[in-house]
Formats: sequence, structure tokens, C-alpha cells
Amino acid sequence: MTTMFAANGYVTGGWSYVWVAYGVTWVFLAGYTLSLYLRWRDRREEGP
Amino acid sequence: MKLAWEDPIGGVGLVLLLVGEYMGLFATPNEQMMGDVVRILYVHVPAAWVSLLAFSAAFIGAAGYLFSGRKVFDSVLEASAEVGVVLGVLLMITGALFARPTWGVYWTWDARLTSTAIMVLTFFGVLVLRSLVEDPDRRATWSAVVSIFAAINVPITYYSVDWWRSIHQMQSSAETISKPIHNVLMLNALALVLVTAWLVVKRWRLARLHALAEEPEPLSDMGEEVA
Repeated sequence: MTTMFAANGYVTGGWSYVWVAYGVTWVFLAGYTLSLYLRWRDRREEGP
Repeated sequence: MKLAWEDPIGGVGLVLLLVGEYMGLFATPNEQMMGDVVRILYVHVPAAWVSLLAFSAAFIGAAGYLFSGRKVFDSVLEASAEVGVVLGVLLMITGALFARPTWGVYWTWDARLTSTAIMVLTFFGVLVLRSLVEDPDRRATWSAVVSIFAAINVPITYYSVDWWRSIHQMQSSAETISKPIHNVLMLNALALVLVTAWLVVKRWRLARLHALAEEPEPLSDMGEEVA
């Protein structure tokens, strides 16, 4: 991933970091929700 | 399928999160110094705030169990600590992705970053401890005590940028950031609060199922366990 740093200290570019950050967020939230569902299903199948 | 009371909360949170992240990506201006990289803050900052809330809820569960002995509080601790660790790891990854283009490094041993790492690791330790102790009462008591010590890191992490010289920026407010950025940040924070509340309640229900399965069988009049 590349980022362009202008000589005056301003950050330009960096969209690749933005996309990865948003992608990781959704992977975490969806992955954790899936893990909850699977554990819930297993627990219900085991019974009390 | 019957909806639980928390499901509409999770649904609204999911819709707000989709809208908020779309706005964060495409409908807000870039920042003068940080350019488009500022868009990472719409996922990073809410993750930071909500992980602190989740760890605070774990503290309440721990204190509640120690004062009352009720397992329902132990389930609050278990659910909040686990969700807090998930958000804490997400916070650190998105923070690293913000740090690289703005600071030039993914990680530095700055006070805010270090205190955050210690906070997440100590609550991860609580989860490991819970997985190692089989006796439900000892597990609840020990993890409550460790959680209270772990929760000391919550205010330390929050105020670390005030107490020590830090490369991390200080807390922002509505007065220090522009209105379009502030509004979308608040929208994403609200969305993540709702989604996290839904996750914690679902995880709490799972913990309650587990706790009920661990409870001893009721005794008959003869003092024998009922088959």
C-alpha cells in the first residue's frame, strides 16, 4: 500500500488503507455475529 | 422466527452503520492535513468509544457479581468482556491502518497505544481465565476480581493523552472538528453502540444458557438429585 506525502506535510492518497480499515470492520462484525449464531445453535442442540 | 426485543435495535444499528459508513466514505469532505485517510476515523473512533463502554459494562458485571453473587451479572461480565475484546482488536487494527499513512509507522510505544494494548490484553486474559476454570463459582469470582483490575485501564487509556506526552491526538469535541465530520462521526458511533448492544445481549443470552446448563439438578425431598 502506498501513500503520497507531499513536501508540505499534507497526506495525499491512502485510499487503500481506508478500504482495508472498512473491510476489516465488516469482517470482524460479520465474523463475530456468525460465531455467536454457531455457538447458539450448538448450545441449543446440546440441550440443558 | 420470533424476534427478540433486541433485534429491532440491532436492525436499526445495522442500517445506521451502512448509511454512516457510506457517508464516511463518499459524502464527507477530506481533511485539510490528513486528506482521505481521515475516513478511517469513522470506524476507528467509534470502535474505541464502544470498546471502552463494553469494558465498563464488564466492570459493572464484575462488581455486581461480587456484591450480589448472582450469576446473571457473571453473564454480563462474560458477554461484555468478549465483545469488548473483539472491538478492542478492531480498534487497534484500524488505528494501525490510520497511523501508517499519517505517522509513518503502524505501531509505536506511545502512551495511548500501549495502554490500549494492555487493556485489551488484560480482558483477553479474563476470557482465557474463564476457559480454564471449570467450577462455575470459582470462575465467576476469579474473573470478576481480575476484571475489576483490568477495568483500571479504562480511565487510564481514556486520559492517557492528557496525562502523558503522546503522538496520538487528544480527545476531540464538537468545537474542535468541523460539523460535517462531527455529524458523520456521531452517526457511526450511535450505529456501533446499537450494533454492539445487540451483540452483547445475544452473547449474554448464550452465557445464560451455558450457566443454566451448569446449575446442579434440583434436589428431591429425599435429598437426591432428580433424574
